[in-house]
Amino acid sequence: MTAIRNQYMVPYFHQGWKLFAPDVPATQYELNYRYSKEGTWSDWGESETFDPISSHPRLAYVAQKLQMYLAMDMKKNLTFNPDSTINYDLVVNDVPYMRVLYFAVRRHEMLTTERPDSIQLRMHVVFTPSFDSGEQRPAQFFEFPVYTFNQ
Amino acid sequence: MSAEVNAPATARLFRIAAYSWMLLNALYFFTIRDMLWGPYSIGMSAHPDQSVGINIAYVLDHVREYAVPAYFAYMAALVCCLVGWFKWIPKVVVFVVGWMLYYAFIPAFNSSYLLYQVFAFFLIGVDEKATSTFSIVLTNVGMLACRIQFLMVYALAGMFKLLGRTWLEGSSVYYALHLDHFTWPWLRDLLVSQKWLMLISNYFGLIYQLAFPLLIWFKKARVPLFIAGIAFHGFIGAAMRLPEFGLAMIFGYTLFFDEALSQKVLRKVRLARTAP
Repeated sequence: MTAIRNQYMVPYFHQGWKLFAPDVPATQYELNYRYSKEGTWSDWGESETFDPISSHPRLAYVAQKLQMYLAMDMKKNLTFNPDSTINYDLVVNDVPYMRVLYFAVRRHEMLTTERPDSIQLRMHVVFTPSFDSGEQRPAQFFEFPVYTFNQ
Repeated sequence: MSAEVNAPATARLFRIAAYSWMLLNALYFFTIRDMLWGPYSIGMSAHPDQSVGINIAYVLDHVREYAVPAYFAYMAALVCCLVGWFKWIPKVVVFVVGWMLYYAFIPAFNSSYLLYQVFAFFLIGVDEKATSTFSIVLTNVGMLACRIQFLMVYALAGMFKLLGRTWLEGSSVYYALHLDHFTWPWLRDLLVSQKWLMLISNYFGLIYQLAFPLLIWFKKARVPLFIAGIAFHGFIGAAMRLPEFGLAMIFGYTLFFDEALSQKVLRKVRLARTAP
């Protein structure tokens, strides 16, 4: 019964009414990326808009949703190395990171009509000032390992 | 004793409202259909381990070549549902292909689409002109199921909010307005400094969602609930950049219109079957 439920009932009848529940997030995420071509790295750039190909608001919505899935995965799977640096191994081998990477690469290909030699993603986490005190935690950056394409 | 369809004008109005929302939502994707569903989509396959053999809903995630034609078939089926052509066949197409499109690019959709997919299932059996006992029962049960589903949305969304901290302390609207992708910066700058406004709008939203499933059964409460709901969802739709979400809930109110109001609305939009 469980198998049947998972195969048929969940795909056709699932609902999700947890927007802004139980809590509204007090953080927001912005994904930046940079790429290298023939040994030269670009500056960090944002990864949400598709101007001038399209300025449809749903594309930014998609980018933000993918970033949110990645942020949720980072909360679960980021670990620390013995030297206190962040270990990204679990995250970069998981589906949310692969989706974001795929999205960034496809976006780059659409906008520039070429594939970079390497690409690197960076998650920028911004904290909302506290409702009560107005205090704001400083922003955090998480730089993922460089992804190099096979030539 | 003869069976009859309960509130046929309301069933007709809701059917038109629901399929209109689905068509508007589909048209919203028109200019980016290839980017979402085409062979060179910006989205990676979400179900690499779930074959079509397991569930046909995943088929377009594997066979991208057919996704954009399926999108056009979906819209054609929606038009048939609105006009009333081919009885239940286009309704089944809307339900099944609607899920195929969803699973071919999940991040493009939000909860309002999921709600209308469930409506699409219950609407398969809804026929306001039904004459056979079986069809009449299907119509009445389908409309009741849609109403229950709609009320569950408010009840569950409200109850989940009670489990958190921000809704109870009154800070949820403040934090929501700080999410750049959900608001307009000029609106945030205008509103967030008004703490009293943040508190009132927070508790209004919470109480409205919890109260709606209870109060809607009282006839005198309906019109005030609809007016408050249009303001509530209108604000969410416009200010938080979720127009389809706001419209989805507002269109859903037609489920609770009484027969006289439904006939009046149908006459206004010139979709009434018979003159009064």
